[in-house]
Amino acid sequence: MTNRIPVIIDTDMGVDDAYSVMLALSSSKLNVLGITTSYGNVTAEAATLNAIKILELLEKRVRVAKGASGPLFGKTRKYSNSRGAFIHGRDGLGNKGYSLSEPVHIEVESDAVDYMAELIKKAESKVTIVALGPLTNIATLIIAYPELRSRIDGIAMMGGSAYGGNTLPAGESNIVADPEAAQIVLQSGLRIVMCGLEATEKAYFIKDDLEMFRLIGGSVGRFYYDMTQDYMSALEKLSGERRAVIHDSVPVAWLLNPSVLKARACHVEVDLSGQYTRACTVTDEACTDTRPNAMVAFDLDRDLFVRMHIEAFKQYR
Amino acid sequence: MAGRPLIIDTDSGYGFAEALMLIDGCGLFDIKGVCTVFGSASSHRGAAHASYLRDLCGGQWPVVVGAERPLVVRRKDKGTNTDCSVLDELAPAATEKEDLPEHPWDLIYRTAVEQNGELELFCTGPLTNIAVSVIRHRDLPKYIKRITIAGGASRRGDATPYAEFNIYSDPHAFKCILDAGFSQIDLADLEFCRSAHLTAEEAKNIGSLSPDNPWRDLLGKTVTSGNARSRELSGLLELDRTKTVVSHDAAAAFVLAIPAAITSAGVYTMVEQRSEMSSGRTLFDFGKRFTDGPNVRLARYTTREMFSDFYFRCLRSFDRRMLR
Repeated sequence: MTNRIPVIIDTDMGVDDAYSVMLALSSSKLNVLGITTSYGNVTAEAATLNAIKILELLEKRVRVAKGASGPLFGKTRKYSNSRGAFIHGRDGLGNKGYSLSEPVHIEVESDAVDYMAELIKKAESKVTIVALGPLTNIATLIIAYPELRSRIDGIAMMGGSAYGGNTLPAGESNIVADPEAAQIVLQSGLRIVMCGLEATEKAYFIKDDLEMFRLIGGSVGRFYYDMTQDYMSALEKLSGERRAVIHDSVPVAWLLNPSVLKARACHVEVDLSGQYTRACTVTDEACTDTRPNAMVAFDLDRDLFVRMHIEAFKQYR
Repeated sequence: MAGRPLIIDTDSGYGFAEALMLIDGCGLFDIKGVCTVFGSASSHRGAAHASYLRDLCGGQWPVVVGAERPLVVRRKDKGTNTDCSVLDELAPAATEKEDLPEHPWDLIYRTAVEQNGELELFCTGPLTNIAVSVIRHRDLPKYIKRITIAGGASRRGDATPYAEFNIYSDPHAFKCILDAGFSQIDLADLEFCRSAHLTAEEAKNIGSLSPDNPWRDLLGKTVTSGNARSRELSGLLELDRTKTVVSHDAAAAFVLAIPAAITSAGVYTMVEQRSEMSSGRTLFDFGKRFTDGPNVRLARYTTREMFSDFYFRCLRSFDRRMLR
């Protein structure tokens, strides 16, 4: 199919990443060329293993490449007691990844950045990068392969927020993990769709949605249902609301149907020096003295978002 | 019965004029003084405006000149956040004189001690004078009943994408106040104006006030014409610029005067001081995710009609004064 959008998914494979990958791979609109992994919700090693396990569960043959283990500058975070382990479980898949069989088709490329570059060079048309974790791999690609910028159609990223944060008072997890990488990406001149917390916190499933996935999605639906239980409980402890917020499905949902988001052109930069505001994606909606460099999502059609996932799970019944 | 003792600290501007009208017009306060600070105008020009407005009220309180620059930061000039041209015309430079040979920080402390813990402060400009008061008189907070501040932004700012002008102008001063140990800090941030403003239709009624009302001409020239500052704030708040008249200082004066009409939330508030991009941004931990107890009472909502009713009652009180 020549009209499919070629994409590379860069992921720190946790629970919501698994939904995003499932959504992307179940659509005939996208052609997933490869998956690259990084630290974030879990270690890069765990993210890689999780990606392979999910691909096997979905019975999809997509090559995986392991990427960055830590940010461009500074130390790698420890995961044992981290927010990521609390939310996504010790294995990154809601403590249910252990129940999946050990992978048979282990095809791991050695370097995520080189692999992305190879895929972009070979692709018949411009490639879209879907960024679901810290932006370390993508920033490295932009720096190391400047000649490939013209071959990249854009970056649909989950990350950032115009107002408020979830890991720091003004910082969202993926940006907090590597603010400098995020700044490199935002300053790259590439087309960027920033799916920040204003939109992604509206991308949630409730108990009935998960029951639906379990009923219609066969073994895949049952695994996703199980995987999401601890995740939802962890989020409930943080927010007081029993919802499974699936942040990472939002950029894929936008690629499949842009009407799922309401977005505006803004100028976005990352605050790299603040005491309280480091890692804040400073979003100038008025573009005062600046030019827009990103489409920033401010709202999401939750009904449509849920329907898109229902359609995806139906393929696995 | 004497009103609530109050000192006003201001950087002048139309907003201050409206706030003073409300504070004096509501009859709830015994104004003990007005201190001026740099901001919308220089501290000295602000004092000329404040003296003119005091005379408009028929008041007797002293006006004292305060800080002309922030505590720490030295910013490139961002200009002023409001147009003072009408006040400049009305209050000629010749009136630039001090009523008292006293600094604001000494006036505030002396009055606070005299009032034995009942003094309230109302701040509509950068908070430098109050911070200097704390630095000079470390026990000041125990003599202050309440501080009400027009400042901060829980969403969009007017000086930078996130920072509100008064806090942006001297973030260290705000931090000093947050840490000083005041028993109650009420904050009316920009977002609060979403529910505390006039409609353009209501503002037109100012023109139909009694010709004897001393505020009719001044507010007629500023409020009813929908001044540039109001249009800027309406835009920030995503209100219809042609149908709303917004004044941050007037909204804060409502919070000061009628706290029972305000839905407030206790929230831990931080202010960014180090970042070049985000300096002066106020951060509110609404979800109590990052901090413990609240240090500020943030005004969140009021009924717009109540605000409007309060505004016009105060304004019309000057009709009655003239008749008396």
